[in-house]
Amino acid sequence: MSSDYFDLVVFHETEIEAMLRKLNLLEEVNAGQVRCVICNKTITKENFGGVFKKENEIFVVCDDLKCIGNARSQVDEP
Amino acid sequence: MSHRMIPDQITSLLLSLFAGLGGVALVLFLTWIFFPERIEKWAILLHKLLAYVSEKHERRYIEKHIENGINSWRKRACKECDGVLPYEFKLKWANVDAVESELNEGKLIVKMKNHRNQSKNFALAVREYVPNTLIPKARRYVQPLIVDGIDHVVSKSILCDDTRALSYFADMSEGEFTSKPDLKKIVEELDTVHGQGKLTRMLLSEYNALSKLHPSNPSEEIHRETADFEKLVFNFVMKKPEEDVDLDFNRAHLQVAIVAVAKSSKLFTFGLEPYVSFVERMMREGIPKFYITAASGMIPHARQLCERAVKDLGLRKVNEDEYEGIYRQKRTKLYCACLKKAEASI
Repeated sequence: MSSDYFDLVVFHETEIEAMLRKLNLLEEVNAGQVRCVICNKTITKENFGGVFKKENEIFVVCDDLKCIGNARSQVDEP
Repeated sequence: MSHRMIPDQITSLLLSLFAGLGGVALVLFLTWIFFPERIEKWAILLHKLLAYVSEKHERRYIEKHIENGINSWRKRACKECDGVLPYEFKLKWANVDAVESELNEGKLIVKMKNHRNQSKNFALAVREYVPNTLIPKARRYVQPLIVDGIDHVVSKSILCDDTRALSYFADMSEGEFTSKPDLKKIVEELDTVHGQGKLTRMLLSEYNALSKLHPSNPSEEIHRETADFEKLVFNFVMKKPEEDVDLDFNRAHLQVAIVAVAKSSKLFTFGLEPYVSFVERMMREGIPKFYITAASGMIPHARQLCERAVKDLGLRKVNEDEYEGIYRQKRTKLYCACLKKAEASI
């Protein structure tokens, strides 16, 4: 959070492929090899919900609100 | 008709047009000065209409609709309880080309759906915002189940004008209620407290004061105290006529008393004296903070009691509000004022 704001950083669903390509995850997602870090569901371009980085590793989360909420607490943890 | 008249007619038409446009511009300008929220709402509507043909406007609509929905609720809540949501909400579009550097800043980047699914976007944003910004320094000192319950009730309140977003949020909550059955009961209690306007004005006001304990570790004792305080407020809100309930709470961290100006027979016979005596007695017992409450016809008497308490008992008014809420199952005018001893810290 910046000093006076809670920032929610977002991307548009039309940018999913571009995002995955930039993160070198597109082929893995197409092959069904990526799983939600919270619920372990297989990630597809339809249910891709978000992404974060922790200890130099990229984690993907599905679009379930609970999983996104749990992902935020992982990001906020020191 | 002579040819000399045609330029005159055109000039006259152009002048009328400019006068008309100038009039419209003046109305818009005055509306912007005195009712800026209305201009913002119209702008959001315009972006929504243009969203079908322009991605730029679609993003502006998604962004401004959510920001307006959350921040307008936040502004009202902060008037009822100062500092309850200290952070304004801002939606930022990630630069996909530089997504790695955004992730390196430790950010969670989430998907926004097409504007036709804006209700889901709104529910997601509220679900992210509330648990991370509601009484941020004090929430760890409140019993976790109650904090979860308050997050639910506040989130529903923000979403209440968007029935689809509320429905989406409620569907998601059902799963949580299944895994935490006590949570459903707490949410029902807090819904009732919120309906009478006491969630922000009383419960969250007191809980927020616990931020003075930050950054010490929370204890079982403080969690129990906050749970007991929630019960006191709920029992007060559910109180039937002539029913006696505890109105004072004097523990290690929370010391408040509720003064309900309600019995017209008592007022008629004894005036304000019984209420003044109650406040004096509570002050002798060490309680520094009071909530004066009343409904409809009793409100003028409650205001008089506040003036007496300030003038004769050395209390000072922290907050005062007249509003509409549910009282004994009817929507009615309600009043709630917070007074505290002049030297007591918040």
